[in-house]
Amino acid sequence: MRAFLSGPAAWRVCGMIGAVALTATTAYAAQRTIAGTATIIRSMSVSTTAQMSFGKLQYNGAGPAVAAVVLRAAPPTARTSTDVQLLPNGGETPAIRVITGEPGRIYRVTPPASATAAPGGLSVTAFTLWSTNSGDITSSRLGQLNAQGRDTIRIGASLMVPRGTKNDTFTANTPVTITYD
Amino acid sequence: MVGILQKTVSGCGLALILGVGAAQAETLSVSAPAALGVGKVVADSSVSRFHVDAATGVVTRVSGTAIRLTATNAAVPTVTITCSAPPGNCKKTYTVTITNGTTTSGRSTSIPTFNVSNLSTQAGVTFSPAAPSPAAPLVFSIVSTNNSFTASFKLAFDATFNSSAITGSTVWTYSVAVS
Repeated sequence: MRAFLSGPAAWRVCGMIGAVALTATTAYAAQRTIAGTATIIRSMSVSTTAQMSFGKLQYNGAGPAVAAVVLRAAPPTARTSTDVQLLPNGGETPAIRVITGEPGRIYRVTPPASATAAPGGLSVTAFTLWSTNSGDITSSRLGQLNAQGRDTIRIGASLMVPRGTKNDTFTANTPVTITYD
Repeated sequence: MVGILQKTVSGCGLALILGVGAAQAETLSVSAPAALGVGKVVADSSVSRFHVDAATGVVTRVSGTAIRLTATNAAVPTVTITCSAPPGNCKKTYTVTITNGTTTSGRSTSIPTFNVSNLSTQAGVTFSPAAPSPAAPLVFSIVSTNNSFTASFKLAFDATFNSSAITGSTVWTYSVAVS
């Protein structure tokens, strides 16, 4: 008994009790850590590998006042017309754009309502879209970058050719807008 | 032996008195709100800063050329501070301090300003100033004449992203301390 309750030891025990009591009841400050989050994704870049060209053609028949030449978006490159004469070796091609960005991200392509072709300022309408990763996206206008963050889109359209148009090669600028969706 | 027992009883009595006195100190707590999600951002070649408005959650670009893809407003968390105690002990002025913690290296930098809104409490308790200005650290007071209180506010911040930031998730931590 004496060994456990010697004078100094008794003071230490009671001091500890007091300290514990103080520690347990003096919570007059509080702190909380909060978080904010964001996800950073890779920026998109678009490069043009081919400008839209309807190739070499002429319209000297007796058809409608204006006839259409349809340039297909999907490979292989092809064009069709019922009235316009399509001539060879004109380098026809849909517009081709290579898109790079965040792997797996969906992107949206917005073509213009119309454009003009040179020479002559012929009207270009009815744009069609084809994606290497997704196929025909004319209706949805949505494509998706692959696991490497890459896709290629091909943009086709119809060229409205007035009767009497002489032999020439017709090209068009196609200012499509491509953004992450 | 008698002397030892007297010392023991006296010492414990003192500890008990101290303990009882301290037991009347108030208890403060800060709630644990959900994280504030800024959303998806396309980083660019410049440092970019977005302001998240605490009142509305509207996110606007303040500087830089990064683009926020997320179209919806951010959900701004509400921080709640409570004080409870035996009678009388919450009748004080408390200092609330909001400070930067960590951020994700290579993606974002420290929060330049915090902003608060929707400061709310009950009668007998006020905020000083009533509408704290954005700052980092952001410091304001809760002035209480009540025995206990609950005070809350919405807390948001300006988010900054590095130039050519590394893609992926970024996290800012910050603390709310009240004393």
